Amino acid sequence: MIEVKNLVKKYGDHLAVNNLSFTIEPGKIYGFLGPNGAGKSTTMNMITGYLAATEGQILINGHDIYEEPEEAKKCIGYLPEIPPLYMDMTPREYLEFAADLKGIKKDKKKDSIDAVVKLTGISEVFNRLIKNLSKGYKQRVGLAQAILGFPEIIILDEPTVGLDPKQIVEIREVIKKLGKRHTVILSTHIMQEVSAVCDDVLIINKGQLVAHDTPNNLGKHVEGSNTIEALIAAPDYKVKAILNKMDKIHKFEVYDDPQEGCTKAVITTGMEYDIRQDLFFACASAKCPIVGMQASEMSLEDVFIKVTGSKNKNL
Amino acid sequence: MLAIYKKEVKSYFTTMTGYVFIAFLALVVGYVFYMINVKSSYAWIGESLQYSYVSIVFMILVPVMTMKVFADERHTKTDQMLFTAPVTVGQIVWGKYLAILTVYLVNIAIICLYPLFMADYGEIPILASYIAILGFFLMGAVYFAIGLFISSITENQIISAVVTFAVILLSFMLQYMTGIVPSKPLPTAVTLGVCVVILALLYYVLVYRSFQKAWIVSIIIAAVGIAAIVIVYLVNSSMFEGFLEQIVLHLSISYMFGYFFDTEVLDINGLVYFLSLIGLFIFLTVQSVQKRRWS
Repeated sequence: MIEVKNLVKKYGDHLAVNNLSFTIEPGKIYGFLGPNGAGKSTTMNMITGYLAATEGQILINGHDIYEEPEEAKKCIGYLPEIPPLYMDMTPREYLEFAADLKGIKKDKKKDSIDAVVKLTGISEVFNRLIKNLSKGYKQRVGLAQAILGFPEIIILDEPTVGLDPKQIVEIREVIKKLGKRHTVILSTHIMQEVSAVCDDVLIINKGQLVAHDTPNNLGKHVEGSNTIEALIAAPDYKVKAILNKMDKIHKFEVYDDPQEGCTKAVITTGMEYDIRQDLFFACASAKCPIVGMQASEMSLEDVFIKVTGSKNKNL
Repeated sequence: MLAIYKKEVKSYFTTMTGYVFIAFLALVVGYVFYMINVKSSYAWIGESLQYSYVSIVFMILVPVMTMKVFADERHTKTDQMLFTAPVTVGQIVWGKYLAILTVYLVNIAIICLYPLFMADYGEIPILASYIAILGFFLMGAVYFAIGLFISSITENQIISAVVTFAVILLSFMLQYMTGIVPSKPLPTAVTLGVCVVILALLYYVLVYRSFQKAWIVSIIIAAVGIAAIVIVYLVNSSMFEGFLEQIVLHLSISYMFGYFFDTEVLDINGLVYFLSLIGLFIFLTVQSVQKRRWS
């Protein structure tokens, strides 16, 4: 359990994290989302005790990260954006060092190293120098270091960057497995990753929390989420007449379609109401056939762009 | 702390650094020992340890050992692993420092054999020899603490190495530079007064952002300092005689080594002087690493 209260981080005059507060419940996978420079890595570095906050408080299982750093840090495994690897070591030496550093007891050391090696699939490179490994394997060795000893809270900063699609799927499986027994926070800007693995999403922008919900709910909560696109084989004045007669429609727009004699209508309704059947019967009674119809539910990308308020290619 | 110590010692011996250090220092000390103690038949080994060659070797070898300690760690981001692990910054710094001293101790062990070799050929002041070797060890330990501190304030290995070299060079040269400071009482008092004013200004520049009354404290520092100097000057002006020269000499670590450790009597002042310098620089290293987290 992590409690973040009124967190502020200033770099000189630049405000990197602005009054951020949230609570991370145990046993869930959290996705930490935001455009570049939103303060994701800074926040993670503060939670793990690498950076000090300018103001605010961070409690890890009730331990303040600045007052009782050792107790708090024992609960956390951290994979930073750039895996902190010693290039002159082999994964074996590296993980042994990590185990010593985390204070894992001698009799448990071998078992816990074996467990993470199996989980991250690095046994075939176990005795090669880290500097000779591919990026994907380096990432995995870093991940193995983070989950070594299976701390309660595992924080991963962009764990799948630079991996090939197969490895991405594998790492996601590992994260899902971890999520069953641990609290996992992962930052990413890949949307599929969030929908694929996360139970909960925190979106931050310019150092502030702008949304916090499950991936499914997030789509619904944003205005304009329940929108239908219908292609009707009738001239636009007829379509307008039909739609005007229907209640429960918030607003609609009608366009001429390039397809001969068709009109495209974009219809927005209230939150939970499904207009499709009503529309079918209304058009049928007016003898205007519906050629195509689809619900254009808002994807996470759209939500993301909407709440972070930037239409540029920061994604 | 043990984990970091073990890792550091191992890294000195998996790369060439440790071997180069040991071999080069052993070569130079061995050569000087041969020239002074063997060929010129001096019985006391301190004669060769205090020889200026040996100090110059430290200027090159200390940066080799310390330049990467923190600078490289920060450069490759591996410091994120250390500082998010359940160990304190103090433990990290001490682990790294003791690892360097362990490599250095290999050389000290070799040097410890020299008086024994000589003992075969005549009367040797055994006690004085080992006191000199102890002093030699402490002198190196101070240099390493300085190097460690410099490594912790920069991210660049080269800068770290060059600055360490320059600082040790300056410290070595200061013993020949006492002429640049005044030795008569009045100019000494004036110089000290200027130093106090600079100190007060420095305090103001450093804290005026966070502390509004900084200028009052600053003026108090300057006033009290100058008043103290004036009173001491009026009461007993001879206390200022050669005062600055002594300060300059005390900044020269290789000079102080010769000053404290050339008798059969172990000078406690010398021990205190060297140990407090080590403590000071380790403390500064810890502070500079901590500060980085807050900036």
